[in-house]
Amino acid sequence: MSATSLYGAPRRRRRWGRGYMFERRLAALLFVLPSLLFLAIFVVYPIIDAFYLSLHRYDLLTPPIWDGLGRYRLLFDDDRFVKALGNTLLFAVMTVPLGTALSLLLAVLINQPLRAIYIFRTAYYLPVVTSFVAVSFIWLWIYEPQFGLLNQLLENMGLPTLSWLRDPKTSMLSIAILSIWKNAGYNMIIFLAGLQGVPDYLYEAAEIDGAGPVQRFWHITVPMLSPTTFFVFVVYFIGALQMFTQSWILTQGGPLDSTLTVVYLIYQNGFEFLKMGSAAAMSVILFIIIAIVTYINTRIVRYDTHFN
Amino acid sequence: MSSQLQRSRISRRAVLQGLAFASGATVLAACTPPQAGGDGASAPSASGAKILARLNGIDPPGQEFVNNFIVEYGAENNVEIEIDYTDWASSFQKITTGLAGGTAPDIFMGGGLWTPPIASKNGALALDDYIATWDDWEDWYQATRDDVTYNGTIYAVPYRMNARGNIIYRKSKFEEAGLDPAKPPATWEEAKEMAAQLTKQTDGKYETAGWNVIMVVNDLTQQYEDALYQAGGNYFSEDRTQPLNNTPEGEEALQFWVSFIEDGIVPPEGMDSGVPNLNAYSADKIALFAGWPQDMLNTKLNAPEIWEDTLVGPPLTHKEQAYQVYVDKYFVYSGTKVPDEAAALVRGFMSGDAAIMIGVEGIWGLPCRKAQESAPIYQDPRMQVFLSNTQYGRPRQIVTQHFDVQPAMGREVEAAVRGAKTVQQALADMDDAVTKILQGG
Repeated sequence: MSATSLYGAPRRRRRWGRGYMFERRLAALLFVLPSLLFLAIFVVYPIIDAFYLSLHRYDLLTPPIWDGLGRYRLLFDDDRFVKALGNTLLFAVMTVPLGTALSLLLAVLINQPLRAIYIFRTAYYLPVVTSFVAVSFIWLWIYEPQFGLLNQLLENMGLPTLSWLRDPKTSMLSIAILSIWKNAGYNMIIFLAGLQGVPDYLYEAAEIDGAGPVQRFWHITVPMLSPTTFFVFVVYFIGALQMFTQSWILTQGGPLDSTLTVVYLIYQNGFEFLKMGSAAAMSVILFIIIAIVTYINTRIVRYDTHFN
Repeated sequence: MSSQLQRSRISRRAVLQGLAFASGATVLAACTPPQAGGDGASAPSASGAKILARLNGIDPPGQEFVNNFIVEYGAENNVEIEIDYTDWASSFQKITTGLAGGTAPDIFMGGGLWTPPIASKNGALALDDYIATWDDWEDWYQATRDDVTYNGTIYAVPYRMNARGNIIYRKSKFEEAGLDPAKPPATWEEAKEMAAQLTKQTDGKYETAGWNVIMVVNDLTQQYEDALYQAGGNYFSEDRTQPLNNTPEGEEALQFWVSFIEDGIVPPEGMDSGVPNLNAYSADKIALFAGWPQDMLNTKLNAPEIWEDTLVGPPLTHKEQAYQVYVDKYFVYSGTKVPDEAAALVRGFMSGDAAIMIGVEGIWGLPCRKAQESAPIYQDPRMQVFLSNTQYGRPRQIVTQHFDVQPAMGREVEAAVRGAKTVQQALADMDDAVTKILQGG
């Protein structure tokens, strides 16, 4: 009565009964249970709770008071929130396209068959593994207006100096430069993995057809890397919309709120001003913005993506 | 075969049970209240009550003192004490989340603004009954006792005071500029005049600034507030329901700080060392400024030659000679299971050497009670000036929303100092912003 399985061992029919299927499903469920619980406790519950709190006045220390959409109404009357939204988008626009292009360029460079290429790969990746606090201290000194390295360099070249982090006009640009430098190595590795998946025969065929390095880059590398570029671009954009650490360590949102980002404002409202309801409302709005921007990115970038 | 299958099934079941157990353990671990941080210390086990105390910003020698102190205290009083050392920057966030989750330590340190926000939310235990049994409560300065009292109830015990309005200056730079080091500036006019003489700059590049404006939002508020007191003003009405910044006194105070930038005495971005944990004065960039005693600890540790060249004077006067004082204090958590033991330990922290070592010695703070005036740091003549300056100290006008109010004021001071708004516009906007916060916005 027993059937033969693919590997020749006798398969016992009774094991395909209802009890067996239940057991298999239970086993599967139990295997994923730790991850499910982790997600439920640390991801799903906080998201639901944030929605709940955004409809309340809540100062952490006394029970939440129902406020309906009151927190949301207050937000759009709040100049700082509007400014933080603008700053966040500005940061994303400054860093994402340039950072993605730089990472791709670095990946192409370190994909060359040179003897000491591992040294370059390590060097470019080092900022990623360095603590942001340590990196910030170095950049604070580089950007120091009176005797910082960058201004001394500009002065030696006969160029005008800037106040960098201390001037509202240049503070976000300064943070963007640092962020691009810090993140370039991470995206470079992703691009490098993508590059190493591009078949050599495509380049060889193009070379035989007389294509130069630039043509090979534009007509083979860029299209073949489009799924990787799509991934990097979308993830980078989402990360940029959540910028916090740089602003917190380097400028505390200043000067004149010029580096105040939405996440920094969420932190301030929640943990400094004890306005957890407002902080939750901002989180919900940021969540919606990220969802919309990611959808738009997906529609635009995907159009040009060759997934096969 | 059958026995093999049996073993296999038992084995799989064991795996599944293990997974279920691990999942449960993960949940339980996530839900367990956190214990003291990795840097914490604890007295040896005793059979009595357990007390968890969170102490902020204690330097390594201070920690060594505390670790020895809790061993002795624990043995004498049959309690087990655990200390969680933390930094000031994250302490408020830790406490508020601890209070929200019911996991706050039994004793915690709080800063200058903390009494109304914590007391109004029932985060701290009322200590009147305990303090009524203390025979030395009168030894605490009145301003510090006022600071820990909210709506007539005492919610904390002060352990240190601070003030940022002390005049600090370089003897050698005064001499170079032809000024008499024995005569520091006493008035606003003298301060501006001397600061201008002390400033050395070429084409906007400052070798020495004759004064300093700390361009950090909360610091800007505090600098402005000292000047406001000196101009005879207050930032709130007596009942603290109405902001009073948009007044002639407020205008004078803000203009005083703005003028240092306008007159080119201080660069528009303020002076800074560019090096973390090193202030501009210690980096030889400042000749004269209004600062904290702990600024001088930074100087002594990082630039001892500048500390040797430093002199200290009393706070400036305009219409009044004054500065505001900041009181650091111990709270006992309202939800503590060991209120009597915790209150007794607070008293222990504020007695004898502990009051000096934890309170003032480690960070060069100012005393909050007469008993601390015998601290070794005050043997230095310059520290004695800091000590005598406390006679000009006035308590801050704090409201329950002050963690929101202080940066809101600072942002307007910043706008004026950076020239983004006129002084009048900044003060009008400041009062609007503060009013909105007081009304629950």
